[in-house]
Amino acid sequence: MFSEDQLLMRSTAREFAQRELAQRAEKIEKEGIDNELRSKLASAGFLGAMLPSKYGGSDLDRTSFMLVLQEISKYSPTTALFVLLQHSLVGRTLIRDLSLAESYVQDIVSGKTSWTLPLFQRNLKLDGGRIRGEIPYLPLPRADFLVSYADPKTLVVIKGGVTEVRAHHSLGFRGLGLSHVSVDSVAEKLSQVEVDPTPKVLDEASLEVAAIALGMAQASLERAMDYSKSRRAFNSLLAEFQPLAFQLLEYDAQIKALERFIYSIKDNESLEAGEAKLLSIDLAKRMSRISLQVHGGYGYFEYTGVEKFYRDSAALEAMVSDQVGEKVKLSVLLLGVEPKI
Amino acid sequence: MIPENLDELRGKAREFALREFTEEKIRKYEEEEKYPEEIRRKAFEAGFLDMSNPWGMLVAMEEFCRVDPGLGISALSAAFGSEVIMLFGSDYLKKKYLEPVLKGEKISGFAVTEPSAGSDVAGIRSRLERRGKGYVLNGEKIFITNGTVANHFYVLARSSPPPSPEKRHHGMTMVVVESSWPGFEAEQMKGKLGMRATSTAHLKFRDVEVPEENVIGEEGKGFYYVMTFFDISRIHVATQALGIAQGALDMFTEYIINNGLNNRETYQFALADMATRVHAARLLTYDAADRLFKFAPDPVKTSMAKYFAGETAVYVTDLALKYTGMQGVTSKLEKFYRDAKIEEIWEGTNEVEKLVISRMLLKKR
Repeated sequence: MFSEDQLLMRSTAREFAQRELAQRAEKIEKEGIDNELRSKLASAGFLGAMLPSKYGGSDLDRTSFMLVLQEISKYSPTTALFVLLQHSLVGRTLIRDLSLAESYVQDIVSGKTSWTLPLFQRNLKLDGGRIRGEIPYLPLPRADFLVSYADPKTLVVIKGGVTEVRAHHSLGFRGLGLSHVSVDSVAEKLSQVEVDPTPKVLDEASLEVAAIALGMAQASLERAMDYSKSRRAFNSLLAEFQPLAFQLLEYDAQIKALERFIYSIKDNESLEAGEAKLLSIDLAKRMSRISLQVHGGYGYFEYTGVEKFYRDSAALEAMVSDQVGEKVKLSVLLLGVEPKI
Repeated sequence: MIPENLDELRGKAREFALREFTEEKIRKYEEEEKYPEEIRRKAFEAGFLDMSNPWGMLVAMEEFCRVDPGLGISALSAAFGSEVIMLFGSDYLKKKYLEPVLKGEKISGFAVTEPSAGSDVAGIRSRLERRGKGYVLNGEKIFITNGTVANHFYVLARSSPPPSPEKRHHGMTMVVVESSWPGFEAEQMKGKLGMRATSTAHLKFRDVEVPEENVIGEEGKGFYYVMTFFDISRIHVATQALGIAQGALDMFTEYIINNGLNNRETYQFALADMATRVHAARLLTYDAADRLFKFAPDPVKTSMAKYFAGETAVYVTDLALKYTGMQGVTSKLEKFYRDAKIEEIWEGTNEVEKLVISRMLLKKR
């Protein structure tokens, strides 16, 4: 299923995650991604993974990038989403007009500065040299730079002038922070490109999101399996009880099948990519619930490292898709008819 | 099966919860992971902790959890475990430990679960050994509700070796231990997924001297007392879950109305699905409660109620989140989602409830 280069990238990402994230994951949830971790992610080549090497990128193919996200997500879904967000900035937004943004792209890829962009794009108002407006859901609200649209054609970069109106109590990805902010700042226009009038950052990244969710499902399963082979109750290992063993078996099969499906898809805009995203998030939610249940009372505590998959998978569902809108779009692709009622 | 005056009791409880469980207080106790003593006192003064009125307590739990599960449970669980004294304790224990709890002066806790034994109650390792006229207690308990605030605990420990591997539940004794006694230590367990306004602790007992008169009922019968208590407590836990599910259903209904989605079938179907399950959970819970309150508890019905209501709380909060998007995951609904999950675990996991149901059904054949 994977080439030698892709397998090498997967093992590199796995080692990185075990070395840099396994012990730090709980701290990331509380304190966020600090400069040191950002630098390490940059040094590993993850922040500009698919970008051409002449811009400081790693020139990876999509499959390799997905494998990186999947491995990181097994330890810290927050870090995986951070990498995807930074990559979306350079790969999908700034890269569209590199003549204006080249220096910024290099700053992001090298981890020199921190950047963010709204999860759900709303046009801010450009008035003379200033830009004003409100962003209801902004991750990484304390980033050095914010990239946004002034109108569907005008991309701007904003430094300073971002005030937190309210920090959301977000269910998941707590390390990213999520705030409602107001913006009143000097704006620098970056490009004049045609974009979707209501762009959503993660809309065009179905396969990458599917890889993150798959990583969560796999980690939840692995932890449930490990625990079931070490915890005893009623004079037996948990793994010796048929209902649990059969349930884990069933989920192992589902995860393996989904992995093959996800990595067989070439087009991120296809019906299959959308289906893979919905399926993988659903599987991550169900598997994390089982994993928490297997761990009993211990699973209910942060230090066990299981409950975050339960929170993050449900939050991911909200962050990357409007359930109804997404399904309408995919149904049209499948049926050729719009379900309106 | 439901008393006629329940609407009045329900209305009173709902009014109290809406008034006292303000957004500010909900977030404060959640963030500080603190036991809401002021709310516990007010709920007591308003007469909600009245063990002589079981239906009143039941609907109060439902209505409290419908507004906020963490505050609701803490407000009504100050007498946690005291039914064992009521049913099996001596007059001395009733006077010394039950009366102050019922007067709202003291808080109790129920200490059974251990680091290596949760669902498997008979697998506990705490030891109660004879010394002179009394006993000495050694061991650890984990995930204990009211652990850092209770004045005394009803503790299960092994007092003699099991006669055979099949009879591990023999030789266990329940005693009352005061938190002020030498050798007792309670450490708050922080960082829970939800229910952060409830006190959860890791208890340690190191050579704690327990007087003979603090043995509850008969020595060696502790396991049976715990199982009898579960027949009562599981109904209250089912009610907590029912309240959570109803609260999530309320929020989802409001979302549909506020966003003009009344005519969209996706939302209509989700609403119908949730409402049907909540109604079924309520019928199961009230049926089990009715049997208990008539002094004829049916463990099968009780376990069915606890299992189904817990699963319903998780199901409904999940479905509500799914269709409310970012608004849901950044609103009170996200807290309900986190709070709900414990209802499938504490006071008997879903798996244990299924075992109780099936074993007892098969035993009757």
